[in-house]
Amino acid sequence: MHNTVECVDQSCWAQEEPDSSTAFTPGKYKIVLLGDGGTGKSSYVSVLQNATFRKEYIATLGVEKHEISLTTSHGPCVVVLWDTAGQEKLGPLRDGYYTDANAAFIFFDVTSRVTYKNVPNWHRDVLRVCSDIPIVLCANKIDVEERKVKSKAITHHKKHKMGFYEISVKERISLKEPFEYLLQQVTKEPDLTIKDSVDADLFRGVGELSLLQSSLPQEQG
Amino acid sequence: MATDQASLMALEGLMTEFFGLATSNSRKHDIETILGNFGQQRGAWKQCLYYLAHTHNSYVSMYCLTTLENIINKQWVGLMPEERTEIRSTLYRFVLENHKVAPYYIRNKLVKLVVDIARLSWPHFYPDFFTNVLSLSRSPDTVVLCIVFLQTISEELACPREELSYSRRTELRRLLSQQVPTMLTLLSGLLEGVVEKHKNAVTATPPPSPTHSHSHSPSRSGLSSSPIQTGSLLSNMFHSLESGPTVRMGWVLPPLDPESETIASLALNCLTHLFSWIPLSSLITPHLLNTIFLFASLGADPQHNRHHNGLVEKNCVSGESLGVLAMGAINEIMSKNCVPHDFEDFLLQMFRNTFHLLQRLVREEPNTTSRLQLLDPSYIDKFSEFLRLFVSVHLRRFENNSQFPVLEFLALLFRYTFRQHCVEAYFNCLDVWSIFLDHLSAKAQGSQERAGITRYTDALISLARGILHKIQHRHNQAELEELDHEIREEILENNNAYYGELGDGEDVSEWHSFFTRNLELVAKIAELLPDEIFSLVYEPWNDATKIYLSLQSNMVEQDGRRRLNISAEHECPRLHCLLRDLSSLLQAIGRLSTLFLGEELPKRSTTAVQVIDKLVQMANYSTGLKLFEVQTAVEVLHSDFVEVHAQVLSTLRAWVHWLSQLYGQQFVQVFPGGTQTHQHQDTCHTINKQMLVAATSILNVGAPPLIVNCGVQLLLSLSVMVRSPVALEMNQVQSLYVQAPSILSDLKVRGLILRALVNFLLLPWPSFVVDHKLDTRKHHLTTFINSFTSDIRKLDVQRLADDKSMQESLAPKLCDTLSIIQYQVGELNNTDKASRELYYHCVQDVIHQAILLFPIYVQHTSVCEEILALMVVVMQVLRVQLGAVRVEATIQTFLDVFTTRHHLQLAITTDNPAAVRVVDKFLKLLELIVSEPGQSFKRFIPNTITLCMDHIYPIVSDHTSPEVKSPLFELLRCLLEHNWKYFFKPSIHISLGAGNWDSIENEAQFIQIMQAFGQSFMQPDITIFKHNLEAMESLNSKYKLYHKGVFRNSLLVHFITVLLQVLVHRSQDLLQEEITITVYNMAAVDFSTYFGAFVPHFLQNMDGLDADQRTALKANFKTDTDLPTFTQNVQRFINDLRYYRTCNASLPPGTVKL
Repeated sequence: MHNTVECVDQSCWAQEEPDSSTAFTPGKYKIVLLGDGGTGKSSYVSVLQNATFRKEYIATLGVEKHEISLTTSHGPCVVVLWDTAGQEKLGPLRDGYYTDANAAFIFFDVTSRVTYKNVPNWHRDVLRVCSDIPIVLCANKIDVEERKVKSKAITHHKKHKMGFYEISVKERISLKEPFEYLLQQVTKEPDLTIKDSVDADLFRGVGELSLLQSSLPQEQG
Repeated sequence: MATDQASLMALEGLMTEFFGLATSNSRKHDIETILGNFGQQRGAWKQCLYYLAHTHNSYVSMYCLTTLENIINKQWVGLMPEERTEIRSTLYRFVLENHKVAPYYIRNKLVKLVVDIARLSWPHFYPDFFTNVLSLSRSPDTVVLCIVFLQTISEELACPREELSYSRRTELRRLLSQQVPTMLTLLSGLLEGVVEKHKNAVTATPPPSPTHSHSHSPSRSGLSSSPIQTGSLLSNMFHSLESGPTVRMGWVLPPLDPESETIASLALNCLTHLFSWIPLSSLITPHLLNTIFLFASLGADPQHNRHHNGLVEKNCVSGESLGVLAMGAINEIMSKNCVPHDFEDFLLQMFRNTFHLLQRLVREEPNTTSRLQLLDPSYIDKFSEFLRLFVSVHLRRFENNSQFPVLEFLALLFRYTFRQHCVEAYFNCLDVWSIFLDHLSAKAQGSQERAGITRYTDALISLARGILHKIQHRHNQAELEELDHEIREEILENNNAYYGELGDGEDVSEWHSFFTRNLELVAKIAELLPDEIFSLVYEPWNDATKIYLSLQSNMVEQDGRRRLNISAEHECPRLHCLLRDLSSLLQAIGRLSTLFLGEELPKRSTTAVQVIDKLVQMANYSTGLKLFEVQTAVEVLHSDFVEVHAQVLSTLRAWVHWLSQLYGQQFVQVFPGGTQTHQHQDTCHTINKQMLVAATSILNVGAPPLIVNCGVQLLLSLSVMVRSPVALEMNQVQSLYVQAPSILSDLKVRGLILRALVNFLLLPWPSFVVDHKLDTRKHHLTTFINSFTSDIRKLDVQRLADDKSMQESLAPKLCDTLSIIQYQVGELNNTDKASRELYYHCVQDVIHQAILLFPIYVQHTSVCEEILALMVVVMQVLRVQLGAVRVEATIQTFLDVFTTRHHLQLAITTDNPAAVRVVDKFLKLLELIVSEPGQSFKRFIPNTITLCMDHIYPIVSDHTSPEVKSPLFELLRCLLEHNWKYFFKPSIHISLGAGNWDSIENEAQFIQIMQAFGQSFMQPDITIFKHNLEAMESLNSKYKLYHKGVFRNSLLVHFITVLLQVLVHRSQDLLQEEITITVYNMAAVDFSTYFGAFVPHFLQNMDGLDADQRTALKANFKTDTDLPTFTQNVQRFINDLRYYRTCNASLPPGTVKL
């Protein structure tokens, strides 16, 4: 009987009750991106959309919505990415953006400790609105040499049920993996993969180049 | 009311539109502007409360709550006391009325707002806050709400994110700490209540017997034959556990009813958060811990595996099972490194509890290989995390505790590791072992604690054996065949990666990453036990090699083609496995070559020679038989052959390092009179020859690209690392000098071969070689370089200038040749003067030709780029050989082209990426010139500054254009760093101790540059900001920039002001740390002036503060002068300053503050 604790009388809330388990039509998902300003959320979205990496930083105001179509091993799907602003520029809706989200990315920047320190805050904000959605933590900018947040120091994801990837939006390292992780979790298809279509070539870019460079003999005679 | 109703309807319309699928981003922005303006109105809170009470639209509710949240956090002090009371009591009433019917996220947000108010007012203006919350636990209806409150309190009061004054933060921590015992007791009570409620239904499953035998072990290892089998120690250890207060440990709870499950989930989550910030102390009682462990043990029971799908409320913060949540709470305690002494026994007790669970986890199950397979993967993750924390944080505390059976623990860990079913889970276990190995290495290095490691020898050998089994098909075929090889095969086809270098790329196959992680751990063990581990690898490798070398007898000729007559259904898979294992073991043999280097070289040289002999034999055999073209019954065998062959060459390459050390100076004997001999000269030469044969003989026999690449790489490594006369004496190498320039099939392969061939002629031979044949080598090198550069050398520049089509058609060839020379020059970086001179002698014509070509190709950016790239390397490596006059002429040529024809301006303003790259290279070139220590290039300094500050900077200063700004500022930084004396002459006053008021020259230029740096700190580009901050810091640490008179007098104040403003406005939040350090170093020029004059002045000019706040900020900015305290003080200062400004902004205009 107790399973109705939370829904005895939903009549007054019934209208358009956003519920993460039923709000999406199959194959269409809302995914929110959060994290401190300047950690690479919008750049990631723009790379996903096959645009080039944004070298100059333009702060996002409020939220930007981007729809992308993907082919997966389990059929086509449409993802609407809600790219939210870092804290200072958060619009009047703030965590209101998260309602109905099916999944979330949390970004931080490995060259700035404060952005990692704020991860629990972002995580807590999103959990309060969407208690049980898949979340992936993205440690961005691993291409930068003077890294401040070392891999060993990143433990937040281990305390919670969340995916974790070290990525570089600029150098296109591991961009597909966090996305694939979220889709696997959302669809409950652990084997789902994103198919490399024309506009997914973006997932592999610099890899070849770096392989070439590394082919020079490293040893010193 | 009617208007309220109407505006509510309008608001509902807006919200529905905002979240509608079809709404565009610009419309969204418009809506947000409207919403934002609404929230800014005075009295918006009243309407929000009205809407909240009357709307059915949850988007509207969320918006209203967010607006109220903003009002509470930013405008609270601006509200009248009765307004505050109204907001508070209305919200609390809403929570009580709606917590069961509202969606959980509305409830959570309502709770958060009440807690936010408490954060500002409790206890002074909100004394009954805590009592109210605690009283909620008394009614079954509000228990859940109570826990949600406690969790939110822990989150928002202990670790607040919104702005709050520093003193309030400290006060809150203190006040909250006083409530912790009550909170813990309450939560503990709730959890026990859940247990009590189900106690009657507890099934009387007897606790598992700790002495239960584990006959089926993954290997006959030293670990599985440890005393765990007898169980003596463990049973003692767990005996106390069974009879202690935790008698219920082994007992199993029946499935919980959903309400209990919800309560338990929330309570465990809340405990986890509390544990994350409260210190370890007696507050965490054994009683509470045992309760948590009871829940943790649920996860080890397959029945409790998953939570009740669909039945559990959305309340469950994460949807995780209770076992997982309980382990999460335990891990939170585990992760604390600071353990009070009296807490150690308590921890020991905790480990006992956990290892008891571990024992259950690795227990055999009927009908399946292990219990782990039946459990929730999240639970296994948590458990592995526990083990990781235990080994990394606590093992050293308990390793020598007689009560802690460390070997038995390792035995359990071993079983736990090799019974994992999922690769990720297995990797997590390898990480735990890796931490353990680090611990042992640190121990081994620290002292003569060798004995401390001896006790682990058996365990480590078992581990290595286990891992080696894991990566061999012979032992682990099923799992290995599940792994994906995909990416590697793609690379194989595209031929754009070099074998053996895959580890650097991100795109590696699943198989590859599996293999490398295992191999790296084996290598790590081998550092502790080199001989034992090497023989573990050597034996199976030797066995597989024997079979490989005997395959010749299975070849038959048929229709002029050779084929392998192994085709039986069972034989092909066996051969496939054997070949795959062989190639894995070859990689392992290559990886372990590092064990034979350095000090270890003499004593292990016999084995090394044996290994290399065998590898050479395999290489010759593979090439001779051309296994890559033999027909096989199944296709996969063909690619196996290719792979083994390629791997043999790669492995040989790994041993080149060893050979180069064997050639080393330490084996040279010098006799009176200067004669030198090398005691291993013959061995060296023989091995060198063998390797060269292996490398060269594969190049011309039609082998697949993968194998050819490996051969070329081997050749190149030999040419760079092993220097001796041997190569030039060999026919195989000599004939390459004739063939290589005309190889056209693969440009990359050709480039690498050419580099290797130049190296053989150019790089100096070791001193013990009697005849260095310098003249012959010089002659050959000239001829050889001519053979592939003559086209360019002979170009008629004048004709080319007039012939557009000729320019076009020559461009690719030009780029190709220049890039080969560029690589070769780059390689000279580590060599002696003689080699540089020799090489310069051979290529000078080409270099000069390139400079002449530059103006012709100035529109052709790819050639321009190539020429400048070459010149950058030439300036780095061959500057001296080129000579000052040549350098000057070169730079002048470039300067002329760039400045007189406005190419710079055009390139920068038209935003042509290729042209910008050319500018970038040019600036890089100037950077090298201004970095040159000698006097000869100093004449370029004024010109360079003029170019930068008068030609380039004005174009880019107000634009973003990072592509130009980055190299520009880097050039300025180098210019300052290497030409400090151009501005600051060493002053006689300093040497007399008269202070640092040293004189400055070229002051105007210096200030111009500094102002450009200052300007960049007011612009949004964070990369430039960061670069320039680092540049300033580095100049300060080298030359005390901030202390220079010119800087102190006219610049210092501006810089500190700008940096503090950046902190206040949080415009470069990512750089907080770096900015604060710079402020510190600038303040350190004169702390007393900083605190006494600067800070008051800064506050006076900062608007949005009242006089009291200025005084308070000034007073609270403590005058500590050590960096850590200063940093904290700055953080506090900025935090409070922002907080005051936020508060003041909420006050109605003209408000009089008392």
